[in-house]
Formats: sequence, structure tokens, C-alpha cells
Amino acid sequence: MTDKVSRKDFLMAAGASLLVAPMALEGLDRGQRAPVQHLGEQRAVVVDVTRCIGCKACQIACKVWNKLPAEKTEVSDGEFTNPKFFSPITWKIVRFKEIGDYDEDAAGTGGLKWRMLSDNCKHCLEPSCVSVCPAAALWKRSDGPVLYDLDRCVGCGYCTMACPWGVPRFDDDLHAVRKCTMCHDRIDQGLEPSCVSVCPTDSLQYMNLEEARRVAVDAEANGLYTYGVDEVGGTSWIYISDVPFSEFGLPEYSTVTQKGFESDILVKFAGAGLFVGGAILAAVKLYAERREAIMKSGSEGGN
Amino acid sequence: MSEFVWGPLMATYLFLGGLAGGAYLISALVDLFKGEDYEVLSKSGALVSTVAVIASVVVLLLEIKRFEVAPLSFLNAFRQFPGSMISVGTWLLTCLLVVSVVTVILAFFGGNWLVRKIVDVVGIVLSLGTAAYTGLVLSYCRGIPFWGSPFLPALFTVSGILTGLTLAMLMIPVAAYIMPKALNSFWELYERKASYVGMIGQTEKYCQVLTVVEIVLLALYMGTTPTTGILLGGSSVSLLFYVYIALGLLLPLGIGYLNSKWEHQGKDMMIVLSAMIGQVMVLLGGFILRYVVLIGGQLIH
Repeated sequence: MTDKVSRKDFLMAAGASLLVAPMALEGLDRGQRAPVQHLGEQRAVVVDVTRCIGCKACQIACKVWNKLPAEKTEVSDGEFTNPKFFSPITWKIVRFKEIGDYDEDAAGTGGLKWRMLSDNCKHCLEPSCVSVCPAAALWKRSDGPVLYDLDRCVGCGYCTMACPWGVPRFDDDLHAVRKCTMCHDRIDQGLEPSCVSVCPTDSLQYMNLEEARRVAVDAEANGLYTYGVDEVGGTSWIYISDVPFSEFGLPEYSTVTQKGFESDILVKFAGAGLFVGGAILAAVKLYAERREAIMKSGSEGGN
Repeated sequence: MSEFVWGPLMATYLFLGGLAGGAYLISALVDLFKGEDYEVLSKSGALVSTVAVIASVVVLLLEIKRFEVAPLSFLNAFRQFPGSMISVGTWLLTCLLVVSVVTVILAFFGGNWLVRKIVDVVGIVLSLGTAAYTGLVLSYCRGIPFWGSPFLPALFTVSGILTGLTLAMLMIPVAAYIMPKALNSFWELYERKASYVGMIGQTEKYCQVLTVVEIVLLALYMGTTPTTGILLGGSSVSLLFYVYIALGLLLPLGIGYLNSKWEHQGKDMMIVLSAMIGQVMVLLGGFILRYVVLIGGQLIH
């Protein structure tokens, strides 16, 4: 019995498996793209940008309730968003945005619009952070909050990269990540999240998720922009605004959930693998044939 | 708070993981398709794979720093399969380690040929999976568009195979020196200098094919990632990127071309030495590639 596998058999088997892989993965992709249908008893927060006056009471309330210390920050570029980024001890940021160009002849604010957006963890319906965590340290509670267990967190930082909004932040002292918990301890006591409870203009409103989505649909019907109804499969924090959310630096995302996103990458990678694998096998085969031909002609010449 | 959550240690983990996959793949393919002269390469590949997997796990533990939860975290990671890509990687690396160790035992102490072939085939699947994992683990990060190209895992896979092959080649004399009895076939091969130089020449051809494919994939990756500017601007990251292209891709290609010329002129020692320089450059380039991609993605996070 020979010790070797025929090159032809190997090439055929490799080609067949590369052809079959994308089809199998395509099936997997369809299976994981089911829309969110069962909202259950999930709670949500609607953030109405048109009502926000930028008082930052929500930002302070978050710090106070969660016992998060202050941190040194900088104001730069005429930017009133302060601090600019989430951190292990800053879970809530009010983003300030000046929209439009100032026209001294225009009445009122000179054509300028000031808009403020109270930003934090969106508590996705199918969270990327939960999906990628190798330690099951993060989970989505049935009533909405995305929570985490510091004792289970291994500090790999994968969730900080996977989150579409870069919300979980790595704490160098704890070697673990921290983020907004939607004040789950208050929710357990029948209270609203602390940021919602202090909002003086009802820009933040705590309600059932189904109701929140209805509010958003109504807002869209009135020509307003919404964020969080469809993005990444939906979130428990739904935003309404009269200016596009790109103004606040919120990226555009499709309705595809993290699992759907992963399947997309995998299917495309399988396609790329088919191309690359085929190219390498063809190059190796051509090289082997050429080498064989050279050796053959050499031995014939020698004879 | 750190500027970068993932730094040089994570880049090393990804580099070693890809290299381990590549080294085992070469070991198995050589065992399946090549003759006796290449036995040393097969053995060296299995050894490199074993050491690289162990080293990658050690580096990962150093990166996460939470030694107090490390044993538990491994158990948790196994249980999260296949939900988390890191969990998939944990399984792949563990299985690859087992297969590599079995291969080393079979190769050095002998064993049933059918068992060896079965282990080879299982190992090929695992090694390709491990090399691909090192790219997929980044591509799944939705928050970092720089990594969200399907060509990134393909690029890392090919780079992993290339670095695995070069380190396996580079380690042949070292392994033979450390274990002269186990690798006595190397000394026999070394006596027949033309055979040894011929093997270097032929593996260099495969390296050239892989390098060209890597260049094509790099171009495709840069063409499909929305924030390529980070690699082409004037930052220190872009400087490193140019070093990777010059030293990790173009220089080894040039050395391979020179060696093919010297092969006909019988300059055996020159071929051996320049091939070693090229192999070191490939390894350096492989590491820089991971580092640049890792840091570049976090710069614009």
C-alpha cells in the first residue's frame, strides 16, 4: 500500500469542499437573521433629542447613583461634549452639537441649531458584547438591561472592540470592563434609571419596549429621525431627533444582528478562501509540472 | 485607561497562533505528499507548531493579566463554543496542541502509518482553522470597521502559513543540533549538500507563491476596508506598515530570486545564509503585519 495520497485526489477533494462550504454557510446565515419578534416584558428608554436642553443632570445622576468618581477632562475645539469618550468611570455622556453655519443676517440663532444627545450603552436586543464574550461575563436580562459580572470577566477586552459604539471600557486597575447597567438595581426596586429620573424636560422617558417602538414609528411618520429601532437588530435605548444622527457621530448600521454580521464575514471569507485556495493549488500544481518537465528534459538530454 | 486595549502581546498571540497553524499545515502536507528528504521539515513543522501553540497561550494569559480567574476562564471559554470566536479559538488551539503533540510522538518514536495519515488530515483542518481564527477574531469586531473585511482573515491565514513554513525551515538545523538522534535524517541530508540546498530552493518557491498571494490579499484588504488611510498616512503605524512591505514581503522575494540564480552557480553556502536572512525577515514582517493591523484599528476606534 502506498504511503502517499494522489495529488489529483487531494486537489479534487479540496475543490469540492471549498465549493460546498459557502453554500452551507449561506444556510447558516439565513437561519441567524430572524428579526426580533418577541419583545416580551422588556423595558426601554426613549431619548427625545428635540427636548434635551443639555443640562447634564443625567450625566451627573449616573455618576452619583453608580458611585463613579470624577475624572480629569479637557475642553477642546470649542466642543462642549465633556468628557468626549466613555471610560470605565464615565458611562453617560451628553453629546453637544452645533449644526449649520452662522448667518448674522438671519433671525434668532443666526441659522444655528444646538442639539444635545444623552448617550450611553444602547442595551441592544441582541448585544454584540454578549455574543463575543468568551467567559459568559455579559448577558441580556429579560427585561432589558445588558449586565456583566466583574468576577467572571477575564479582561480579554473583546467586548470593547465588538461593541458597535465602543461602550464597554477596559479598567486598567480591575483588569475588567465596565459600562452602563441601565440602573438595574433601581429597576429591581420599581424605580426608573437614575438618568431618566432627573431629566427636567422628559427628554428621557422610561417605558415598555413595544410602546417605545410605537413612539419611534409615530415620530418617523412625523418626519423625525430615529435610531435604535432597526440598528443592529434593535436596541432598548431608542433615540428621536430632528437632525440626522450622523451629526452626533453615531455610525449607520443595518438591521443585521451580531450573529448575522459574523455569518456575513464568514460567508465572504469562505468565498475569498475558495479564490485564494484555488490560486495557491493551481500555482503549486503548475510549478510541480514545470519542475517535472525540466527534470524530464534534463534526464533525456543526459541520455 | 490605556490608549490601546490590545497591544504587542495580543499581536504576538495572533502571530504565534497563525504561525502554529501554518507550521502544522506544512508538517502534515509534507508528510502526506513529499518524500523522505522532506521528513526533517515535517518533524520541524510539528515541533514548531507545538511550541508556538503553548507560547501563544502563555502570551494570552500575560495579556489578560487576570491570573486569579485564568483557570476558570479557560473552562468558561470551552463552554461558550461556538458562540464566541475566542471560544472557537480556544478549542482550535487546544485541539491543535493535542494533534501536534501526537504528531511529534508518532514522528519521533514511530507509529502506525495509517494513524499518522489520519492525524495529518485532522490536523490540516485544525491548522487552517487556527490560522483563519487569528483573522476572524478581529473581523468579528463590529465596532472597528478597519478590521471588518473578509480579506483580513484570508490575509492572516496566508501569512500564518508563510511564517509557519519559514520558521519550520529555520528551525531544522536548530532542532537537529538539540536532538541529533531524533533528527539524524537531517545530518544525512546535510551530508548530501545538493539535496539540502535543493530542499531550500524548492520551499523558497512555495514561499514566493505565498508571498505573492499575500501581496494580492493585502491589496484586496486595503481596498475593502473603509479606513485605509491609517496605513498610508504619516503616522508611526504607517511607517511600520512600509517596513512590513519592504522587509517582510519585497526583501524575501528578492532573496528568493537571487537564490534561484545562485542555485545554477553552485553557491551553496550563500543560498543557505541568504535563505535564513529571508526567513527571519518573513517572520519579522508577519509580526509587524499583526501589530500594525491591531494598533491601526484601535487608533480610529
